[in-house]
Amino acid sequence: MSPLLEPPASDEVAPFWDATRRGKLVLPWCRSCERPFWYPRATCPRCLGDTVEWRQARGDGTVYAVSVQHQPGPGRDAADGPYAVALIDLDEGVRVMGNVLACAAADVHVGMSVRVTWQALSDGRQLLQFAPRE
Amino acid sequence: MFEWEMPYGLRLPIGAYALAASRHMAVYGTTSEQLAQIAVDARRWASMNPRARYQQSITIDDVLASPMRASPLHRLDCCLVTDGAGAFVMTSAARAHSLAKPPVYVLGAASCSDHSMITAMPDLTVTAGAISGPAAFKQAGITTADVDVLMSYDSFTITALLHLEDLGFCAKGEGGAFVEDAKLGPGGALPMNTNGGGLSYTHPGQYGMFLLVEATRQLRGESGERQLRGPQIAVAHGSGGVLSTMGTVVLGAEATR
Repeated sequence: MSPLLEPPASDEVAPFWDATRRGKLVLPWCRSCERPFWYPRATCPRCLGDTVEWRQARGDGTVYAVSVQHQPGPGRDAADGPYAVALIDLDEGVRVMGNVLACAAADVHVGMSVRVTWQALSDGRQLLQFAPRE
Repeated sequence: MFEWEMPYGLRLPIGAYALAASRHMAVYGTTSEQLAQIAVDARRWASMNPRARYQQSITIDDVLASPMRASPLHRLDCCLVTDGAGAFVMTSAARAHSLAKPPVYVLGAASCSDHSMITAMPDLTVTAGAISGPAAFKQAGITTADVDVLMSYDSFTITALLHLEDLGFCAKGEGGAFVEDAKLGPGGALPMNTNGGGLSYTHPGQYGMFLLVEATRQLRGESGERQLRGPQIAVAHGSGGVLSTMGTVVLGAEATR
């Protein structure tokens, strides 16, 4: 595979990226409205509460929408062939983006059960990804 | 976005619209054939616009046979990338009467925005047009039944389909069935994108300008071979970002004042 466009690592969400180094998915929970939110940031996008607690997620989710990219997107190489980009609804109630790996891109479908998997980044962090749940 | 979306290689903007199409198909059973009908009808209008980039007729099969770009969207589900420019002049109604061209009146206008990243769009089958559309219609004192011509930003076929639902021309989820009788094309019950649209006429980005220009031409009777018979109310509905921002303008001919 061609090198990914690796995500920057902002200090604001260091707990998220640190957890990925240990293969753990943590979500930011707002202590004011007691719900998780996505994407990670210092302030709750719903109530503007600024007390964030990082809680481990189960790592299970469902494909909400999917598109197979037949032309390479940013950071990708045509030689790698088509790949699936999906929006995943995690059981905790947040929607995240990911690739669905370990299966044929064309087999990824809305409603499919998926589980978190990790893809290594060059600095020891890992990228949140998904694979079909058995 | 660089942190939470870019690493996954989603092509933008097409990928975001493809995700919306994927969701709409899964929830409502919308088909690629129904989306293709929107492109076919746009091309039928374009065949009557000598300035359109693509004027040769196409079929649903042509759309489905065109290369898949970001599933479920094919090349012919996508708007063009062209050069182009447009302009309009806004002035007071009083001053407009002394000008050479018949005035067209802004009867209502509203805009609404709800996300910047596609991951953050609350429901990929409902756009902010569900707010801007009814607000503009209310201001103008019209309903969908009053609309003689609809100019709707067709960046992709799915974009136009979502607009039809969100503006209230059909119920949510029924866009596919609504378009499949070719009612959007020449001679149809709801003439849409009579210039050929972003799908066949032109699309330099900021295509909203061309919506307003064609709406104005139709109301003035300047649309040549594709001219509708005496339209009084035109709606121009633009969208931007990744289904992020919607703007609806209701325009009227002299008799609507």
